[in-house]
Amino acid sequence: MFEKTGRVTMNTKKSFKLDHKLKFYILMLIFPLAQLAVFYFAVNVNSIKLAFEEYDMYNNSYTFVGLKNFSQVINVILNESFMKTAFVNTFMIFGIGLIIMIIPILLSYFIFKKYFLHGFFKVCLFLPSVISSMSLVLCFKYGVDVAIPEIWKLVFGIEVKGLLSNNSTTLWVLIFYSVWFSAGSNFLLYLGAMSGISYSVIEAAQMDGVTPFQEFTKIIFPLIFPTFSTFLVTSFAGLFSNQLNLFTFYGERAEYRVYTIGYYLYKSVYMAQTADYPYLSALGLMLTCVAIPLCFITKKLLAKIGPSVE
Amino acid sequence: MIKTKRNSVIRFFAIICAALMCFLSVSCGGANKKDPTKTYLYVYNFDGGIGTEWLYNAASRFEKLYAGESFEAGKTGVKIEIGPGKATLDTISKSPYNVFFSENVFYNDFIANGKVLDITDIVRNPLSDVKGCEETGNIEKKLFEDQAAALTALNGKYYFLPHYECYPGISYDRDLFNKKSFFIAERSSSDTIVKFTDSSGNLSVGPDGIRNTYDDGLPSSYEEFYAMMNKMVKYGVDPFIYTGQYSSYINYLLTGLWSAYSGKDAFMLNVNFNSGTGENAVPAKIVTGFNGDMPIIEDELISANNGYLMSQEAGRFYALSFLSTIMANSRYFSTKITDVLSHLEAQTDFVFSSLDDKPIAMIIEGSYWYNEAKDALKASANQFPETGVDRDFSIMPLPRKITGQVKEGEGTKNTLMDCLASYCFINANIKDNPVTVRLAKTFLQFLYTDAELINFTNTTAIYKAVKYNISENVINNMSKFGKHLSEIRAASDIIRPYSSHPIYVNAQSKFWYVGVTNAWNSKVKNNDGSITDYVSPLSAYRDKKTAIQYFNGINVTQKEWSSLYGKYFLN
Repeated sequence: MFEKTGRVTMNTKKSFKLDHKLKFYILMLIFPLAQLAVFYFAVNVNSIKLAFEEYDMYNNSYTFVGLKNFSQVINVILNESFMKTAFVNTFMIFGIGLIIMIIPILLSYFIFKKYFLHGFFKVCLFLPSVISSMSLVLCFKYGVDVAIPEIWKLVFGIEVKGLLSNNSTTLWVLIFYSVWFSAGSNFLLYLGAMSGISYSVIEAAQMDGVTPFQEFTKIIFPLIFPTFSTFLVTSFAGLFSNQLNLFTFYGERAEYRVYTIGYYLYKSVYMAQTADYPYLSALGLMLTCVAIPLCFITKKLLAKIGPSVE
Repeated sequence: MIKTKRNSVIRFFAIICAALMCFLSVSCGGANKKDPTKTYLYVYNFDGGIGTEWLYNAASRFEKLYAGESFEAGKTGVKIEIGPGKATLDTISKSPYNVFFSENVFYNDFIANGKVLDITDIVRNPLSDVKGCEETGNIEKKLFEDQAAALTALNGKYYFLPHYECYPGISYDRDLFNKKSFFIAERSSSDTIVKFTDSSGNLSVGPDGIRNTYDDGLPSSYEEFYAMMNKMVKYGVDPFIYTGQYSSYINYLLTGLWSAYSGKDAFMLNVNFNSGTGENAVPAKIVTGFNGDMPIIEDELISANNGYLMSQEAGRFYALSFLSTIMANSRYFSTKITDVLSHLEAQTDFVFSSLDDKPIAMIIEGSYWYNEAKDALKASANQFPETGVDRDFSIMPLPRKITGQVKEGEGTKNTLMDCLASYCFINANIKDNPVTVRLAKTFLQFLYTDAELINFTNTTAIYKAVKYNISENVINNMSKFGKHLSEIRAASDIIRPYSSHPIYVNAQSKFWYVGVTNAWNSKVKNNDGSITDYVSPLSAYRDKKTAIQYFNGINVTQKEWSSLYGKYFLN
């Protein structure tokens, strides 16, 4: 009886404990799961559904139209010259981004090693992250469109157009701004990753007579490779959402020659009436279908070819 | 010991910060303290060119008028809380504001989505419902026929009321025109050269062809306009300034010229797609090709089937051609124009220019600019107490002829376009709150009484987009700009580019010809056959494209039109 009673008590206690843990577990998860359900799944399910529908304003209702919106998207992509420009710009900016991805890593290493003028570079890179983007864009615009022509005239006596007003330089100026603007956050994360490297590892290597180049390529880069890899995968994920800060510079009036797909999507959604949403959903869905496999392939490739920490 | 001291310092600063936060919170709370004895109404106002002063004044009058009225049990009187801003209207369903005044509103979308409250009752009820108002009519009678049809096109009910009228185009400094004799003199039939005079000289009859009217001495053709600009340059005056920061402002000039050339009835074909039949049919002047630089123009009757032809309207070509001509000469523009010059800076430069002896004759702007530049005008009056007061600015009626001079009796009526889609409406999220609904509706009705409409114009020098008369006495007390605007408005046809046609109802934003939309987008064919897309002709002209190239790129084909809107006219 005692044994029986004891077992029962023990079982009750155990189940009570489990219940308690389960309750805690549920409480911890319920909010993020609800958020995920509403703001991710519901939104995306609705967006996917929209891609196959058409809006009727008179009845405020949607009707199923099959692949009509997708055929419209394909038609726009194939026949509208601005879409070609937008795709070319998007991939070009992405390519440039990939090539210069090494710059924030090198700068982070430079600052990590506390080389000459590291403080100055730190400020220059952090500045865009701490100033409001609107103010920064305004200052930048004045700099490239007013100050540079004035300085040029003063020094060389030649009148030149502002770099943003000049059609042939606009895109490059915008790319420069975008790279500079995004460098701050990249640099912060790389620097954080480098700071996490045990000093004893570096010290041991230095005692073995490692050069700074060897230290960077053989120790630092392999150890921060997971951070680099994350950046690379997320940059593929954001391939079609990079709007090159065009909305901050021009609002909805950017010229087609500087369009990116990200800007086109952003601007179109910003200016859309309800009837435009199905087309935009179809476009978004098609771009996602391109971006997702790219992300997975990149992730797999990086896992295979990445340097070993060993 | 040192650690304890450091902790004390940290604690001290933490206490100071906490105290500061509390103080700030109390300050904020204090400022927004509600009066529990009054019923509140929250009103959002787009704080652009028209500003918010008119609304503060109107709200104050309303509060006084209804000071003894109870809208809910236990409370007497009302309080209008105004929120000026420049927010988008996407999320109004979650907005704390009950009444909205805004611009660039594509109302059909809001109605279809149930975001706005049905206000048919206050539009049709007599205005005598408003306390102290003796008007026998209602708001509906103050609406223009086509306006009322467009606003009720979706389901026969009213949800929106027209707010203010804004005319795109050019404003000019009449004092400067007079001082430098930039007014155009009347020519004899044998005279081929454009001559100039001051306002006391033998002025030409202007574009309307009637002597002693508001446009005497103003250019009646593009040819005269170019000659006038050349004279300005010769006399060291910059003809134009405009904001370089917002490229859409150049659309003000294009749309102003286009609507002036087309006239009201023909321009409305862009939104109603109905030329009509018989003797009263209104044809559109369509460019069918070019003979050298000269457009070949044919009259076409427009219906939904061939609505795409409106993309090749002659008025559009002439407007583009005008812009191309003036852009070819950089001396026609102030050197202050850069891609960062804001509209407010452009207005300030324009106001101060002749006082600073670096005169600029004209500004490309909406007719609201004078109200928006109030601070600059005040500052210039303070800085130049003798010459900076009672300035004579006016909007300019634009030429409708390409060459020659309009002779007496040969002119055409001026056309202005109401271009900013400005409306007021009530948020549908208050529909279950009868107290706020009643108060919001009463406030709207109050704002559309004649007295309040006149007060609005008095404060802003801008007209509400409804029918009302302003007495001579009131006009005489207005600024010179306000007087000129009143005179020109009274003598002009006003285009209100809204329609009840299903194509327009379903795609309202696509038929918007000024501002943010794609009205002037063009697929310019290059010499090598490739296509370059442009948002603004300014950019294309910088790339040495011609007006003809740009105009051809605006063309909408029958196939594109049918694919977009065929379901509304193809059976």
